Amino acid sequence: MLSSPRRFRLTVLSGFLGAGKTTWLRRHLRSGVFRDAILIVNEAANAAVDRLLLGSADRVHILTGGCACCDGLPKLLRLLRDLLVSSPAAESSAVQRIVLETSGLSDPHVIREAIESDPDLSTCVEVSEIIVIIDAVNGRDLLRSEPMVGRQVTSADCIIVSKTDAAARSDVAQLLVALRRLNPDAVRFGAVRGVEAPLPDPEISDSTGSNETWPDRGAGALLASEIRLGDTTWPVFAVWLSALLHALGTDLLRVKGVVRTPMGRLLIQAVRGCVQPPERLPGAVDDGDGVLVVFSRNHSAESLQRSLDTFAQAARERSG
Amino acid sequence: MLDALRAALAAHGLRVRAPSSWSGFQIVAPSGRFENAGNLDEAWAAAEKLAGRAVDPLSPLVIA
Repeated sequence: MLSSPRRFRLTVLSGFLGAGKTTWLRRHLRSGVFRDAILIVNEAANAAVDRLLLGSADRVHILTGGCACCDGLPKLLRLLRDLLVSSPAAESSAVQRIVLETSGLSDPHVIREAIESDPDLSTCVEVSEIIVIIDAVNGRDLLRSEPMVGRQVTSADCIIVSKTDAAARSDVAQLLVALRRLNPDAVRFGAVRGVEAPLPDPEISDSTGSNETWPDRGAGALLASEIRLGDTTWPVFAVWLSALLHALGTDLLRVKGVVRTPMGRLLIQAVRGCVQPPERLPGAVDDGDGVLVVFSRNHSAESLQRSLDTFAQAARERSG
Repeated sequence: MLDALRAALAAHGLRVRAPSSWSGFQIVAPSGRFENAGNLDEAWAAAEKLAGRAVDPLSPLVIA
């Protein structure tokens, strides 16, 4: 049995791929809400793109290569145990806050259960809050097609509906009806680029209620791939990504990576076939640049990498 | 960008013209038929129309 005077309050930040977890977290880190918190970032892929975005925060721990609810769970539990005895204020009896940003494919309920049933952690770590972010634009579609989204919503103590500025008010209202049906007890907020935003009146939401159901089924294998850009030029990459987005549409669930371009380091993101405006990142070149994390249905990392390499080779032959 | 697009569409037997008078592309089939495209996304749709099939960067035609 682990003996530590340390106590942790753990906030689990969850939500599906591209929901806006990192955007929300970056905003709250900048505003100082999590100023003294230890940050744990979990990525299903091996590449830690979010480390490049949250790297300026103090005390960031990255868990890559598996979701914190399954393959990555032993690593998470080990990290929490290590923090109990080795965090900077381990000798203190003050309660330390930890924020865990899960991968988009993680089930936060499983994480809570694992911590609460762990003999060492259950006495020292309180899962104080599960925050789930759901995208107002894609939320209803995802509730239908991705069983994990429903599981995340039902686990939540607080649900944040993101990107409300990009969705029709009636769509947001119908999403709220679905969320209330799935988890009537959760507190709900809206957010735009991480900043709290109003949601439609609940009464309006109720009046737009539908009889939609949320089947527990998937639509094919969801695969995480890491694509290495190598010496692929920016124009070739842009053309290839455009072709991929056009061909796969909503089967391309998530694209995220930092790409070196003539304009500087750009954060490239796409959610369900829609590209978000690239964000120019400050700072020097990082080893994590040039790796693109792609979540798609039924397309292997090998075929994606070969496709990019073929585009690059064809462009070289043409220009050479 | 134009070279990369030309290389990508050559695999489908299509050529790309870039008239200097506007910022878009002209996708041209071997028969001489063409479609105008204002941006990259429209270029893929135009290419599919001319090729009569999906222009898929993951198809065996491209990555074989």
